[in-house]
Amino acid sequence: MSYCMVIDLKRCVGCHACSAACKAENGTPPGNTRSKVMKKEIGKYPEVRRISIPMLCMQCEDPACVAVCPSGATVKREDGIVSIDKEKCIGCRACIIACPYGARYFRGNDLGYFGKDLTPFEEIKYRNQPKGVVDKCDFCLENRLAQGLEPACVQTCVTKARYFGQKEELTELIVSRKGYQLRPELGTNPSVYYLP
Amino acid sequence: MNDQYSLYIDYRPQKEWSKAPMMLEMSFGAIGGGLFLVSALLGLNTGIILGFLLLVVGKGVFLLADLGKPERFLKVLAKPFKSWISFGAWVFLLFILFGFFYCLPLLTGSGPGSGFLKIFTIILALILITYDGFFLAASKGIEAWNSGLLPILYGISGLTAGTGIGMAMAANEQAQLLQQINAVLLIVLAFLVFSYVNFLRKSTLGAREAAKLLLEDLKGPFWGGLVGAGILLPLLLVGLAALGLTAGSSALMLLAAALEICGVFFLRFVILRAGVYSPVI
Amino acid sequence: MTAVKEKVKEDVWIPTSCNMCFNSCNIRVHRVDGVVVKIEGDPRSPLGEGRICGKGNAGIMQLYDPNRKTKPMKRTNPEKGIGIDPGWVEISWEEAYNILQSELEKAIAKKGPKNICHHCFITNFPGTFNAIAFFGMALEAPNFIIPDICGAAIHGIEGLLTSGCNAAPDYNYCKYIIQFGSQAGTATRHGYNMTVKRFADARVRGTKLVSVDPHMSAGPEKADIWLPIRPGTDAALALSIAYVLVHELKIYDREYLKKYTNAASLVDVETGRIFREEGTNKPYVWDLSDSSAKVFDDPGIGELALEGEYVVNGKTYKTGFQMYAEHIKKYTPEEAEKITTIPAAKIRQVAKEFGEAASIGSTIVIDGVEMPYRPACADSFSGISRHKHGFLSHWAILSLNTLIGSVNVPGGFIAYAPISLGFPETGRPAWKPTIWEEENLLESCGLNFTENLSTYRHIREGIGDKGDMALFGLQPLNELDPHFLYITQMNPEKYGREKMDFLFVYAGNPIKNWGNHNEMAEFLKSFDFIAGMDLYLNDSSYFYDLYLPEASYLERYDFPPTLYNNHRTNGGIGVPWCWGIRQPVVESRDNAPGVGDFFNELARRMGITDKWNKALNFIWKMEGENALKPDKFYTFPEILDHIYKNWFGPNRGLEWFKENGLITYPRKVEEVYLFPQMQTRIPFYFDFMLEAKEKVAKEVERMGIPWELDDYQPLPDWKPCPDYEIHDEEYDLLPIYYTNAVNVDTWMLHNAWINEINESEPYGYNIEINSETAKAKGLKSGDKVILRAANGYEVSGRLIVVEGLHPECLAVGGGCWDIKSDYMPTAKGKGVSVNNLIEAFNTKRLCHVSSTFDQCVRVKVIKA
Repeated sequence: MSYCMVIDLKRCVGCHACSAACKAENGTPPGNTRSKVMKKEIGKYPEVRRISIPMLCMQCEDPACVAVCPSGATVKREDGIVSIDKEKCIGCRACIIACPYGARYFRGNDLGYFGKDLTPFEEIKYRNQPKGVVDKCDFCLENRLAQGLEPACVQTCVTKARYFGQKEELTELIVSRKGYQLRPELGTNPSVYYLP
Repeated sequence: MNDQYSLYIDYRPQKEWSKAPMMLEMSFGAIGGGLFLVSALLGLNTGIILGFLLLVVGKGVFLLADLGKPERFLKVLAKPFKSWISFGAWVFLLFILFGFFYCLPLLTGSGPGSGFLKIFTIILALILITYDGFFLAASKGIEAWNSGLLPILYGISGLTAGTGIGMAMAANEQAQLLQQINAVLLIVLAFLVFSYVNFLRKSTLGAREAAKLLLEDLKGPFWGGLVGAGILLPLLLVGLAALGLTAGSSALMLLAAALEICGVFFLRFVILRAGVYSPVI
Repeated sequence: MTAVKEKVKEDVWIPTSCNMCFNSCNIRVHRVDGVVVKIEGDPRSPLGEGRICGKGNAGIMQLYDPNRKTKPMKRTNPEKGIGIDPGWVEISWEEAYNILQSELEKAIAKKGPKNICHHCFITNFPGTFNAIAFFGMALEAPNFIIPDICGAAIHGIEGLLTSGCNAAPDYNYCKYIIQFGSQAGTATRHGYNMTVKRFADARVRGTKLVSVDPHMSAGPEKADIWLPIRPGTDAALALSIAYVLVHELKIYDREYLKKYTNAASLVDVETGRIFREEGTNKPYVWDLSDSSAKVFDDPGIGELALEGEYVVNGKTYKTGFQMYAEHIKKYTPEEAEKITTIPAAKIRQVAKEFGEAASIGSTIVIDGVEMPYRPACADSFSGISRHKHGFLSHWAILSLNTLIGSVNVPGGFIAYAPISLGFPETGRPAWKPTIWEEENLLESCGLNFTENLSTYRHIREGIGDKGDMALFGLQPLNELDPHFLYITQMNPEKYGREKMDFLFVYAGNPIKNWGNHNEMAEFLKSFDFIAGMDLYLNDSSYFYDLYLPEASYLERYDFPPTLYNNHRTNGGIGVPWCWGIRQPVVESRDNAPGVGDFFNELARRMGITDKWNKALNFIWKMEGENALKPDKFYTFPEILDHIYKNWFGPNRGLEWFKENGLITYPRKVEEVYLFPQMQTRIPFYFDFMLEAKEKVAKEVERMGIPWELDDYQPLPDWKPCPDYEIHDEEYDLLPIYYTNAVNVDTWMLHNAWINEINESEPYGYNIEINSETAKAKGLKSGDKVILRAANGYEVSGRLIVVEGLHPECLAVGGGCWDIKSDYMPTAKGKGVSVNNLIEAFNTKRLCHVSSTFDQCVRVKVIKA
């Protein structure tokens, strides 16, 4: 059993609802965008297309980050999620360097969006965002999955572009729509798939 | 390359290990380790102690400074068989322990430790000057670092600085030998740097982007800092001395050693700064 | 860091509705120990079905923004200007009300209610109804400003065609959509959150999207075909598509045109007027079966002529369609290519695909009702309204739908909610369009309140100056855009007006939402007293005399936000009706009131509760025992209780809605499609334009004011914008602006999460330039540049070289960004305000039919 996410790019409009929902759910501090929408232009005018690629932790089968973590803070769980034990993390950032997908963020200070004085929201949420350690998407493991809820980005997606479930449940969709992983050549075997 | 906008998919230089503590930690490890090794092999007692201190204190301080949670540094030892950093930390810890006992007799005026202690300590030092290269090479995301050349490059660079400092400190006969070794190491280093750049230019797109970065954006530190100041200039100074063409005055050798130390730093500087992620799509 | 998580004492989800844009999606807010920790969509609502956009998610950052000003303040420095400290001092609410009341009374005493102007609209749409009720109705003050220029012209033309002043493709069934100046369903527009998923479903089903846009915004990003067009030339493209359909492919819905439009009416070729029967005024048509002219509804008509030229009593007449077909002959694809820069081959391709997708002649059965099925639609919106000849352009585009018979039928172009039969238990709220009898034409149901409005009656009887500043009496086709007010306020004598002295700004930023900001500063300075109600001290607040803080949307009540008009209820089959609530989730900071509480109290203090209650009874159609008693003061929540009970019965008052949040019930097929259930027609040949022209001409002559009448014509056309031609080679580029799904107006930039996204995207705050253009000018990404217009106005910014932009354009987000207020530090200096380049009070830039504002201004790029 392993969690898997499929993102349908035909549906996605690159609107950043997922980015903001993740901010709200996980209370990520400035600069930390666990869930985000990346943009790119392909081609030359007028035969050009702008694309939006929603990104989050790929929850790789063979994660580059786990391999380099010296403290054992980052682990690959049985359910497929790569999670960080923030009590164990020493903040060496080797995992950030190792991740080819830019999914990890280091909290180097304890500031909020309005500086030193935290808002009531930040006061609560930043309890899970301590200074000096690394943070990343874990499919909203504790705050949502544990309650039987789907990740915040899936919940809020205005076009219902995200499918979330067990890998086996989503395999047919991936195969029938010719889904693909990002940078498969690296051998990390991501659990996040994209439908063209 | 568009590194200003984090939401644009493009080649992107790594930012986490591009600051002073990491570069200094790596540099002190290489310089101290190189000096310790050379000194232990050639019996340079002052070099042994200086190398030991540079490695243990220099690398140790900046290693802690680089951690987000320095107070948890002991946790770094958790995964020695999985993580290069953890493995290196064990080696570092063992080196501190064994090195201490190896050096201890020097304080009482006798010679350093010998036998197993000596061999084991030397091996640990050898690992310490190369392992930075190993853990960079283990970073999947950065193609420019995925090269077996890196540990060798790092090791040779450390030994160069080690012999350099050694020759500046050593007495005459040893100085001559060290100059010759140093010159050879500088030539090897130059060859390795050339090979590494060549590897970058002919390898994956991500590595090629790194080569571009190295030769364009980082051309000052690369050509001036690493190649010019760190290799060619000391090679000129040391080479002439080694061939007996100049007197090899201690001032000139000191200058050469200082330049080689700069070279160690700039090598790490340019390699870390040229660490580029390839676009995800 | 607090290491130990304190024990949670309270953990609740409260239903309410969003106000991060005007769509008012139903949301539920997670409150833990008095702190909002999450906002989600309400899964029971068709407005997103539980999903909300980035803005909605970011509402938390507005609620807890420390830069919000939550106490009333008055100015102590009389000198007004951006960056000049007004010397704000905090005052009590008592003093604030007293100042406001006395200034209002003073202004009314001086020149009457017309001396009062209010500015509000889309930021908080239900909130705006307070200002309309208070100023417009209770005080009978006719003058107002709306900041939005997006809907000018389109609402009028959509009202004529669909009765709803908002219409959209029938996403559930449409298979081919051409969007002109619109990103509906991908980034913007009414009901975005409702539409965006249905549009995504359609794409997966195979619906094709053609996007006509100079800039690769979210719409073109999802499009199958992107047509990067020269700004301001959309009408030429649309008419060229029509040319291909009519003259090359012969694809148009003859039966639809005959049955559901006035295209068969006989037109006098000399006057251009429809030939009508004396007395009844009924149009004549031609019966081919006996070669005679008959009135259009003559039951004896054998075979109606759609095309042709006929002679009646020695006079030559052509059918309306014939007039149209000949009129569009000049729009060959080759000609259109010269105007639009879109290759003729592409125009032909799109026309062919569009025509074929329409499946003319096919029918569909939905819920047992057989209807024509025309799954193709041309949609048009705000991009078009940013140009001078807005009415003609929107009309040119939407007439494509009439041509293929897709208006008001499944798959085609339908009103958001043309008919409401009401909540089953009460039959309220209900509406249905009326009919203009003499020509059997569909009439409008209005935009803001579902009133039965008749453009035709207005033209027949209502043209004439009413003394208002917006000159609505001269613009019978202008649904609600009062933009001529800027002109008359700045030139009162020329237009025979008196300058207004009092301005109330609610949730707006008037200095930023029109033209050049220095000119707009003069406009604001023309008022003796300005009171502003807002969350922040924005750029315009530097001109306010009194600042009134408003509670955030998570701290206040508002009128039912899913309004009972057609604005919010973008529907279609399978989308239930939904009525919701906006209620406080947390206590208001410093007890700042909601706008409803505020006006209710102000009315009480001014002794006009009776008029206020009457206005609310009218707006919310409260009747019988649910009506507010004129002489009684109700708290604002009590008023809401009346509104809800009036609609949903005595058991569903405010308390019910506070607990339940919303109510839904199914939408019936007869509430979605007007044809064929209503045996009425829509105009194809706009004869009434000529009737209007004659009357407006007479009136402006009487008034002795300058006025343009050229756009009153019976058929659509393309006409160049003032800056279409290059007058000076140096000024060769056209800056355009666009929006995306995380931005609305200047206040949104101040949201820390939104700002972070904008800053992280290369397109966010920079000026986009096409790579070839940049190369030719020796410019590169990162260059700081100045954009200078020929009028001398300048803005500056940083370039980003892109491919997704027409080479003749520059593009920026928002168009009105670059906040200057020191009180909005997150937003300050971000983005580029290209509307600062436009002369604000030049009537040459205004459409005199619909008051669209031309924002096409040529600039030269200077490296700073």
